[in-house]
Amino acid sequence: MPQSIVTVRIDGLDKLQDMLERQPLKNAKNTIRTALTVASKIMEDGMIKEAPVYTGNDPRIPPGFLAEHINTHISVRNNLSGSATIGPQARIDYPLAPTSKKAKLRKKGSKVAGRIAVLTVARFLEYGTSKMKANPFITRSWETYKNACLVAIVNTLQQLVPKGF
Amino acid sequence: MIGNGLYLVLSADPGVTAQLGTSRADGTNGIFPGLAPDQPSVPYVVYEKVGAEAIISMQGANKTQYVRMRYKCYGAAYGDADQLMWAIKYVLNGFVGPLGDSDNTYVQSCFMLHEDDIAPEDLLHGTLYGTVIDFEIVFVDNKVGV
Repeated sequence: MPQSIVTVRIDGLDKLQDMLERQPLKNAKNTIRTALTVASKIMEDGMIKEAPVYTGNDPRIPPGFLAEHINTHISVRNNLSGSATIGPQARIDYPLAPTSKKAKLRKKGSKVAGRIAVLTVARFLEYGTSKMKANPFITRSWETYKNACLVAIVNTLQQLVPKGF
Repeated sequence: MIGNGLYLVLSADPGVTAQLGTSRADGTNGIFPGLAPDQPSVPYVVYEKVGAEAIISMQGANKTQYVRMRYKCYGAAYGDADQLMWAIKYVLNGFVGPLGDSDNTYVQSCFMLHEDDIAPEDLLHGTLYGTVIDFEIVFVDNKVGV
């Protein structure tokens, strides 16, 4: 029976936190934002690469529309914690074809039944439906690029955090 | 195989089978890989592998491997899907031990990684509600490597 024990030890996080806190707040926040920007670019590019492209004949669905509407939102707080939210945009709908009846009847500012958001399409693709097998492109991107993102964050912080404290 | 081994563990668990039912109209046990068959009885669960990683060894292909498994639970009511997901969580979260499959796969660690709701789907006979749970699993595949 396998009984190997793997020990993971992470050193230096308290030192890094200390170095960041010794900088002016604006500089420290910029450092974290830069590290997150570099790392999230890797994940965003990976997600764009993994996003399924529509290959059917329906003119209402532009090929690559999903990949074009994947973006990143970075937030850094005053306590020097930061996050990057990467994924399909929530407030973008797939366009209606100019020749469709619904598009012609649409009044300014009105909601049109049948419209579908990019985020909804992404959820259907990620988790599948009762009729369609899932294509979990978001999870696949995370699993593929998470280590590269971590390396990018470490490398960026090593370059930007001043030495000698 | 890890997927089949986990299938055996879930299908033998009384908590999971209590949620799925023991005499289902579709004649299955309600646990499906990849995609459920047409018109399955509810509730049911669909599982799939959504990520895997080799743990690098200087000696060659390593028996110890990492996989991320996803379980999507469906029911006619949100509560049914949610209870099924919890039944699976009680079994797999923290699971350590052999899976009882033909490869004698041994799970070294299994922890919940992600939970989410699936958008309800309007079907001809009603609405289908879904929940999803992911596990990260480190296991020993005794058929490969060193």
